[in-house]
Amino acid sequence: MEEMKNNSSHRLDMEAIIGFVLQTGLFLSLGFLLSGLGWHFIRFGNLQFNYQISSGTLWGLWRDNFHLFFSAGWRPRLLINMGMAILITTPFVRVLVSFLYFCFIQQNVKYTLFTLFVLLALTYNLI
Amino acid sequence: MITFPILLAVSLIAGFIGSLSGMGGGVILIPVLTFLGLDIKKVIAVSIVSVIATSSGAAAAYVKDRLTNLKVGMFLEVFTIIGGWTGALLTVRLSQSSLYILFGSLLLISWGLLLVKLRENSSEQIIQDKFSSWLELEGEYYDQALSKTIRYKAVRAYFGAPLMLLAGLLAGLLGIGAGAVKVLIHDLVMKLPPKVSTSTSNLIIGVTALSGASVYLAKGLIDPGLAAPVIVGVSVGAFSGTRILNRLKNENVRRIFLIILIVFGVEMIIRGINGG
Repeated sequence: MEEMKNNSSHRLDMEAIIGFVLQTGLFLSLGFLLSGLGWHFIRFGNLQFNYQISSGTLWGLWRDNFHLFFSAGWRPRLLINMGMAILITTPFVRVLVSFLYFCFIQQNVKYTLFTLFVLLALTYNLI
Repeated sequence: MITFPILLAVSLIAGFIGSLSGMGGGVILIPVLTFLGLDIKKVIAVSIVSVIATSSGAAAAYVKDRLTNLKVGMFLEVFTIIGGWTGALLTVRLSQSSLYILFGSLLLISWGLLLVKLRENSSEQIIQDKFSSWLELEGEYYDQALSKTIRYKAVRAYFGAPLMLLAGLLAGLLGIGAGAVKVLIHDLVMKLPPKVSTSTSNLIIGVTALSGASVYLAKGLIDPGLAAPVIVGVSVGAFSGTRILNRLKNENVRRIFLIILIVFGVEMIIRGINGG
């Protein structure tokens, strides 16, 4: 009975956390994208963007965004790029949370290894 | 030149119809944007990023409703992620004509599958195989429509897993979620209940799309001028679609989508044969 209650509460926490991660990532991303679009329209009077993302990787995109942010390179494209970076990172964070859950809370070796594989494969692709 | 309002409008409609049909926005978005003159590879790249958005929104809702089986999702993601990455790598190497023909063929296959009533309730006794049992692929959820808890066990994980490789390949190759394929695998092969199939598929789609998006990002194919309005439009359209879905008759939604699929499918194949 105690194990069922523990499993039930773990299940509750895990799903709540994953739902939170996914929803927050999506809404933050949309917020940045809409802000960037709005700022661009106010500044330039149109919604045509004439730049490409040359960062190459997600890590590169985040690095370039932080560089722009801290070097006072505040432009609408910073918000657009942030929105895209957050959106693309969201599933990665979801997998990371799943890994931590299976490893430290459920202590399930099989699913720790499965999530670790997915996490490492994503990390390799994104860095 | 395609303008922002047109991009936004197309994305809104794609997200709206995609969510009503359960087949996602990419199936509408890609044919329409390429018809309007955009490069198919860039459209595929942007579509797959928008898939992350729609999948995250849907998956968040289903996970909170306790419909998603996280273990099934995590196990199958091992395979879809390989497929998605491979599919995206193929896309950057294939010619535009090949992509048009492949996409058109997928639309026609989807049309065929939608015509056939595949999801019949089975009363067969499910006996879980040892492999699926070892993977702990079982769960339960509260079905609000039936007002009772449904317990289930997934089967044939040894078969479902390699099929998910194929689903991931399609997703990465064509910039779609391939949710319909994934749901079929969950439903017909692994015998998951329909609601668990759909919700788990939505969870998997996001990671599959991410593995494909990483390739397109590396190749510089994700155009922010395209991506921003598409992501916003598809997300808002999908959200609106889910709000009114209950008010529409299933049969009407299905009929509209059947027409769209066959028109776009034939049009894409013809364009591919004519050299894109």
